[in-house]
Amino acid sequence: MSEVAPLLELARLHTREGGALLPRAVLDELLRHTGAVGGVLGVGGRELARAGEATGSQRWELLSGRDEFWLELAGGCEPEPVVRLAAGVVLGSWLMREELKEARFAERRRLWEVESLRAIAEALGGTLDPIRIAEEMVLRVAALLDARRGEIWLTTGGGWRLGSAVSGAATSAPCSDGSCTVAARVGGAVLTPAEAAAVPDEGILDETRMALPVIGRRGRLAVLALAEREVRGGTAPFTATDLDTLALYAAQAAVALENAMLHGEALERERLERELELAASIQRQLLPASFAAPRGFEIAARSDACRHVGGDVYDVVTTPRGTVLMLADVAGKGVPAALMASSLHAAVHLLAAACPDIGELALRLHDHLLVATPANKFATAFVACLTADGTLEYVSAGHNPALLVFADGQVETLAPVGPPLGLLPDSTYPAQRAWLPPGTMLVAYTDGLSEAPSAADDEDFGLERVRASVVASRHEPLPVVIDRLFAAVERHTDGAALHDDRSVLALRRSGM
Amino acid sequence: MTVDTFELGVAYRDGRLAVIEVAGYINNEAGEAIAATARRLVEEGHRTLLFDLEATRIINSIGISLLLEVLEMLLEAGGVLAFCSLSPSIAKTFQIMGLSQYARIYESRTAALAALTPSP
Repeated sequence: MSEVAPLLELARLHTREGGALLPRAVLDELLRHTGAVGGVLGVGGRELARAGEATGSQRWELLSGRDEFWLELAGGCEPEPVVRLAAGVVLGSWLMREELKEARFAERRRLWEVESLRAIAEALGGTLDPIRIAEEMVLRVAALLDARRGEIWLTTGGGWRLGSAVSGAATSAPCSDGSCTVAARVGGAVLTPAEAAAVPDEGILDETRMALPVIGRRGRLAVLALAEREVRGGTAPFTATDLDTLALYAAQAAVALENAMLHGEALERERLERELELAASIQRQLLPASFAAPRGFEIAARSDACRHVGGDVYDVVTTPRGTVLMLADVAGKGVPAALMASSLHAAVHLLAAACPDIGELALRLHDHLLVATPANKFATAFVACLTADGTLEYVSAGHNPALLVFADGQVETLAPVGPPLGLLPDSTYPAQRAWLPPGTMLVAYTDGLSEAPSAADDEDFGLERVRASVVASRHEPLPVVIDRLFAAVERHTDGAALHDDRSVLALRRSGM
Repeated sequence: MTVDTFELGVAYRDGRLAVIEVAGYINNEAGEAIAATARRLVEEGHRTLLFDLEATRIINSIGISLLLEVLEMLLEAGGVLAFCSLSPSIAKTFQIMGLSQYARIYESRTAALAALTPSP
């Protein structure tokens, strides 16, 4: 028994370095015991340890009761049966322990995979930052699939602002066409920029790499790529199962990135909304709330924009020659129209005093719009100069006919004398004259009122209804005249949302 | 974010205790380097090895299996394996993979040193 004691003692050894130590220690003990100069120890078809040369030697079975351990010794040396039995028991115990460890490790690894999937879902749910999502994703995926290298590319399909969004994250240049950029990377590069841009929908699976696009409802958002699957002491090819696992993560990434994208869009909308509110506030301040009317006259106005900002603009400017009034309607709606309306407003302020007559002012405004705006942009305008004696010099450039409403209810329309400002290069705008007897009212309005559609049959409110409304309320204070006209239009449209900006500029000469 | 390089350094050693700082991805290569360093330190007589993983955010299963071997080696030598400053993700991984059962885990290096350094 004492002969095999050193051999049995080996069973107490802990195994190190992948379990290679114990078989070698057993072989060394067997060589010492038999005096052989070399030998090979194995199980089944697998060699476990080798020392020196033992080719062609007899193979001895080492009984363990379960595994087929064997021994070959150089020089025809023969191990005693009790030594073979002891070696078999020690090796059998060692192998069982190794298998148990591997099984436990594999079981825990499965648990780790499940936990990783849960954790990544939790982590991704907790952030709306695409870069953080990319980092979480690449760390988890590379670790779980034992990849030596991993990276995630964000593509322009996700609407990311790639340059600024990933600054400091990417160590390589973005794709040559700018369609993708590395957002997070571990262990080194996997794909070239050109490869990242060209990963097919079904992915890439080759000897050392695998990659999958992350596809959301709006298209390709990112590309996940891994390289060099590690095994103990080296690398092995990725398998189709690995690609399936990667697809699971890609699906999670798609949801998280899409949420981040929608959140980004919502923030952008809020920012635009705030800017529009600010623009609307600025535009409201451009339109005067009170007017310096000449003695014996009153002026009032109202403008309702169909969006935050509008293309209708009015102004009243006092000049040495008289009071210049302007109501204009820029073609189009929203921000582009508002920008042009502001430009027109500024131009009237600058040019009103400098022009010798209202025809010249209209022409200068026309030239300004021709130069300063795109070819398809123009504005209809009613521009007039009122002097204290009630003389009205005016130009209607393609504008709705303004109404002169006399105290007795008679109405004179001031028809256009030329095309809209900024439309046709060689237009002329000869000034016209009218005289306002005491009690006469001038009402200029934009087509947002006259062309407001009926809720019932889509019929325009029409010039006749405009005329009827102002005639009916001609003895009321000017703001009331204007409000009643707006109210009539609202009744006509049944309170529907404005389809166009609505504005009125009105002037009245006091009665005698 | 890029995690490209792995770095390993013995930050402190005194009698039984040695503190090793690990930065970067603990994969096969890094795990082997950790195991080699651990073997060398044990051969030099250190029996308590504290790995500070503050600069480590990722470990794969090969890295874990190599740390488990370091654990076995230290247990065999009657030593102690300890870790500190783990990211939540790595702490969870250690727990699931069984490292936390036999290795000691500390929140910070200060806490670890206070616990592992014998009081005078």
